[in-house]
Formats: sequence, C-alpha cells, structure tokens
Amino acid sequence: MTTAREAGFDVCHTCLALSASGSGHCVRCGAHIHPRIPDSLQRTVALLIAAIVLYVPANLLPIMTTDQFESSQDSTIIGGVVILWNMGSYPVALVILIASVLVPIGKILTVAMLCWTVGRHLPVSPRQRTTLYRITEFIGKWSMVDVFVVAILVALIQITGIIVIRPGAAALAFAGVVIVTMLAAESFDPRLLWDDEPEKPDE
Amino acid sequence: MSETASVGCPECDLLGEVPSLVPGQRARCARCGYVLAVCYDDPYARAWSFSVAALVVLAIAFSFPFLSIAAAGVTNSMTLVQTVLYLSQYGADGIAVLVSIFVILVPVLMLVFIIALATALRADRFHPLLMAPTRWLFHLNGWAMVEVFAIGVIVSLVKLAAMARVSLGPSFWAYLAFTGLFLLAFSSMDRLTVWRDIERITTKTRPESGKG
Ligand SMILES: [Zn+2]
Ligand SMILES: [Zn+2]
Repeated sequence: MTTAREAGFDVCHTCLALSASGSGHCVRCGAHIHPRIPDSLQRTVALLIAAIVLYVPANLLPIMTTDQFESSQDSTIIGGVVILWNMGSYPVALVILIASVLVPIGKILTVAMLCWTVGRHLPVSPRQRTTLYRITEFIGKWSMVDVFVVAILVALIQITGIIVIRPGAAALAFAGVVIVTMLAAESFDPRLLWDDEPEKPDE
Repeated sequence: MSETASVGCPECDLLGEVPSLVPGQRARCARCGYVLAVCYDDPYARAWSFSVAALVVLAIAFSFPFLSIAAAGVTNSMTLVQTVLYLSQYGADGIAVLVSIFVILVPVLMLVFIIALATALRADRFHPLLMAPTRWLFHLNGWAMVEVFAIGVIVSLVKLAAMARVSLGPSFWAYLAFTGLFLLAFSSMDRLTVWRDIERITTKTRPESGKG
C-alpha cells in the first residue's frame, strides 16, 4: 500500500487527480491542493473554541418569544424540548433534543478527540476514527433544524393582536455554533488519521 | 467510465486504481472505504432531468402557501418568501440571510450549475467558463440544507398541532418533491466521471486553441 505522499503526489479533493507534490494547483481541475491542509489542527481547535463560546448564549438566551394577549413568553432551546415533552410529542422532542443539544456537543467532543489523538500520535485505529469523522461530517447540518423551526413559526404565527412569535438572539448564536462546527470538521484533515499507519496492508 | 483511472483517496491519501465500472457499481478506497466513484447509466441525462424537475417544483413551492393555521377564527398562511421577510422585519436579518442562503440560494445555484454542466457534457462539449462552477458544485453540497428544512417544516407542524388547526398547503408537497429531486440530481453527478469527461473533452479540443 503506497500513499500519494510517498509517491510524490498531492491528491485533489475536488477531482481525485494526482499532481506533482508542491505544485499548488491540480493538473486536471485547477483547484488549490496541499499535501495536507496547512495548520489543520490549529485551525480546527480555534474553530472548536469559537463554537464552545457561541454555545453559551445559544442556550441561555431565548430562541424565540411568544407575544400572546399582552403577555410575552421567552423560550430557550431546552425549554422548547421540555414543552414538547410535556405536550406528549415525544418523537419531536427527541428530534430537537438530539439535533440541538446532543449533536453539537457530540460533534465538538468528537472533533476535539480526533485532534488530540492526532497531535499526540496515539495508536487509535484509523478506521474507527475515520468512521467517527464521517459521522460528524454527515450529521453537521442537521443541527440547523431548530433554527428553521423558529423561522417557520415566526412566519406562520403572525395574527396581530392575538399571537405573534418573534425570533430571539439565541437563534443566530445557535446558527453560529452549527456553521462553526461544520467549518471545524471541514478544516480537519482526515489524512492525518492515517499518517502514523505502518506501511503494510492491514487485516 | 471507460478505462482504469489512477486516483488518490482524499480521506486517507492511498493511491488507487478505479477500474471501469458498470451502472450501479461503485469503487471504494481499499484502505478506508471512501467512495471514489459511482457509475450511473447515462448520468448527464439523468442529472439534467432531475434538476429541471426540481426547479419546476421549487417554482410551485414558491407560489402557494406552505402551511396555514386557523386559530381564534383567524386564518394565516405562510409562504417561503414570508419566512425570510418576517425574520428580517423582527430584526433577525442574520437568520433571514442564512435561511435564504442554505435553503434557497445554494440549492438553486447548484441546480443551475448541474443543468449547464450536464447539457455541455451530454453534447460532448465543455466551455472553460464552466470550470470554476464545476469545482464549486462539489464544495457547495455540504451547505445545501434542503432536507433539513423539510424536517423543520414537519417539526413545526407537530409543535403547532396542539394549539391550532394547521393544514398543509400545496407548497409543502411541492417542497418535499423538490427535496427528493434535488438529492437525486446531485447524486447523479459523480465527480470522477464528470472530471474525467471534462479532461477528455478539453484535451481533445486543445489543438484548436480550446474553443468552447
Ligand atoms: Zn482536481
Ligand atoms: Zn482512503
């Protein structure tokens, strides 16, 4: 098993072509290429820290405010899950709990763990870590579902004088968490997971 | 795909050979299992039809109400455009912009790129101006949130069902169809097939100074 790096090539992420290492641009499609994403770990860690910082207001501030008969009521992400659960809408409560709470936290922890094992050259199975990386990449955008729910409710519940729903500051902070964690997963170079692999076929 | 292609795996850097595939087959990296190529029967005709159909149902989704709600004798209905307008009316311009980008702009751009590219490659032609959009197409995919929005609509529906009578408008079904067609359209564009065809066409026409 030979890697592109050992053979003196850089792999293009856009078209999979092999170009002479260090040429900077793919011979076939012209995309920017690197042997490995430059400063991948530092960038990923910086983005994870940004995500953690944004996660605090995303959970403390109201994600939306309901104005009904002169009174107004704020609701947070967790508050929304509790209301749904009490209403008996268990599947939807679970969808929001998973998408808005478990997925972002799980993503941040997983990517942080991947960075840590790569930085320390820990002998953890590259195959298993690659599976974790792919799961985080795949589920990333699903966390946006609660932001879209707020957008839909705001547009739908507009009966002036009776009931109005307004978007809250947490919606933007939460969208920020989702975008920043997606960028973190993108800036992590999965090839680093395999770089410590001995040069022999596994199995 | 006609002949063997030398490629590198973008996720583990292993060198590999993608053999010629028959429709329905896919080639995976020998070490990490990454899908390097998928073969479809007549992929460009397929991608073109799904993309055009997706844009048609999206136009329908834009023209009619998505959901309507009846509470306290008053009815209100929501359209796709209103979701964006109300958000910015309440000062949530950031969210309005993000919804427009992820749910409308990115998917529509991708479909337009797919139609242009599939039209060209089906006719065995390629214009250098298509180069950059073709690269963007494969990067934009992670940021298209069409299916996430569809789930968002369903969640909203359940949230409201307890407090009001909610009914689905024609746009809801049109948008669900759009979601399916959009996913089918993009998945038809296998990047190795696309880029190898572009390479073949451009090297063939290069002696005539690359006219498109
Ligand atoms: Zn390339
Ligand atoms: Zn691989």
